[in-house]
Amino acid sequence: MTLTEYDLTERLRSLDPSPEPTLSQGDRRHLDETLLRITTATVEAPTRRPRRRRLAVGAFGVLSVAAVAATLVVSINSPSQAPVSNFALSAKGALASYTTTPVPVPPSAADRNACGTASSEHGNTSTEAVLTSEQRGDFRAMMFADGDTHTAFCIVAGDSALWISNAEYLSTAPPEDLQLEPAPSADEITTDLGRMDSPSDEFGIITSMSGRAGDDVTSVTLALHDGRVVDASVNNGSWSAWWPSTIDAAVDADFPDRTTYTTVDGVEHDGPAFGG
Amino acid sequence: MSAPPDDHFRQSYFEHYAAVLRFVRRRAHPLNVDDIVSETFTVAWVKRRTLPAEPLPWLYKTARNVMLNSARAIDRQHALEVRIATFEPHSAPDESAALDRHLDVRAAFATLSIADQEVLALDVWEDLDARSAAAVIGCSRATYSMRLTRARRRLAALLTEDHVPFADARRAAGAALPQTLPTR
Repeated sequence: MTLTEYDLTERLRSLDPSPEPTLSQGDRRHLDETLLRITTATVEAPTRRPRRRRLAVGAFGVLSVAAVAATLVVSINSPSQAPVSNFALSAKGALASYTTTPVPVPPSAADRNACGTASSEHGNTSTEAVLTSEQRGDFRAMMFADGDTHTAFCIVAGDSALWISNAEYLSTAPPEDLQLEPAPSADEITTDLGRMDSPSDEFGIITSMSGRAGDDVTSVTLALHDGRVVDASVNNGSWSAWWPSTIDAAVDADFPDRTTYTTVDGVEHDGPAFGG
Repeated sequence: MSAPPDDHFRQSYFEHYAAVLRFVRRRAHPLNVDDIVSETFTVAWVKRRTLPAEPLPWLYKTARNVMLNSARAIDRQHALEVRIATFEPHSAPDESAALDRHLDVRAAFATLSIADQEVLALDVWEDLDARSAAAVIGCSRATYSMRLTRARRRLAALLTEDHVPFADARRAAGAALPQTLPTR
């Protein structure tokens, strides 16, 4: 027996679990409620800075009628996917070992494989794809480039990847095909921020920031609302940092108050700000 | 001249809400569908100034990312797994044959990889052209077309094999027709 393309398509169509194109009364009610909630309660992106930057914000759904968790992503002048790094970890135990200053570590094959195994694409990550690689206490974090200017971020503890942001961009591209978004001027940085609330109270919140760093940038530092100062890893024209928070944090409580970076001449610059 | 961002968002919202809802229903647990759809359009609202003129592939891609980012690490590889319809017979004369066909394609589809299932679903259920589907899953058009061709070939091979386990086994056992099949 041979199947025509039409037969195959029709048989696949029979598997569609949602074939009905019209909305039910309940769907229409949810449509109206959602639109109202989105357009009246969503945090707006700051627009006063013309500099190219991206921001991703996670917000627990206190504003939601259904008290749902929501992640808000803000993008300004950016057509590409924000390398949001959102993950939840236990707020106790090993998380206590976190340090605000990272130690650079070589990206081990075991860690790269752990990230690849946990990713949606089962990517075979290469050393060349790793832009930054650092350790903070028991946690090792890596930012990966892919073949289309996206980045993925992965944190490993023990032999397991605990969370991966943009896992679909964990690179399977050969080293020669890796691409980064355009570099900023030598004395500038670009900034991305991500955060996601865990659906469970037993987990905390992790926030990360990353971006491109100009050739003259030697360090990036983030001053958080709660007084913590987090040093970023800077490598390969990129930078990244992450820090733990708690589920009780306000929507933007752990956004950096101030992002600064230092250039080779020793001058400290203000980077793109978040949270107003 | 293009519409102001707010107007463009609202137009896109009303025009594509049903499609995004169906896209998510095909992939997410029913309890999570409303949250994922809400979050998808929240992202669209916040990014409305850069929302594409034809936003549906972008909305699908965003919904896909929301599902990926919402899944715990252990579940990420299953976050994009598509669901399969239950079988609800409508007319008696063709019921048995229809159920056989449904069981066959269901069994064959379930043996495909998640990546194969995803491209087939985008092609048949979302009815996307290669360019849009490639944008949704973040690959080149050529890569998508190749993946789709291979997925269709693999499914067709499974369906044309001599032994079709579900239907044959049921016929052999003389089992009663189930009224519905569980959705995984």
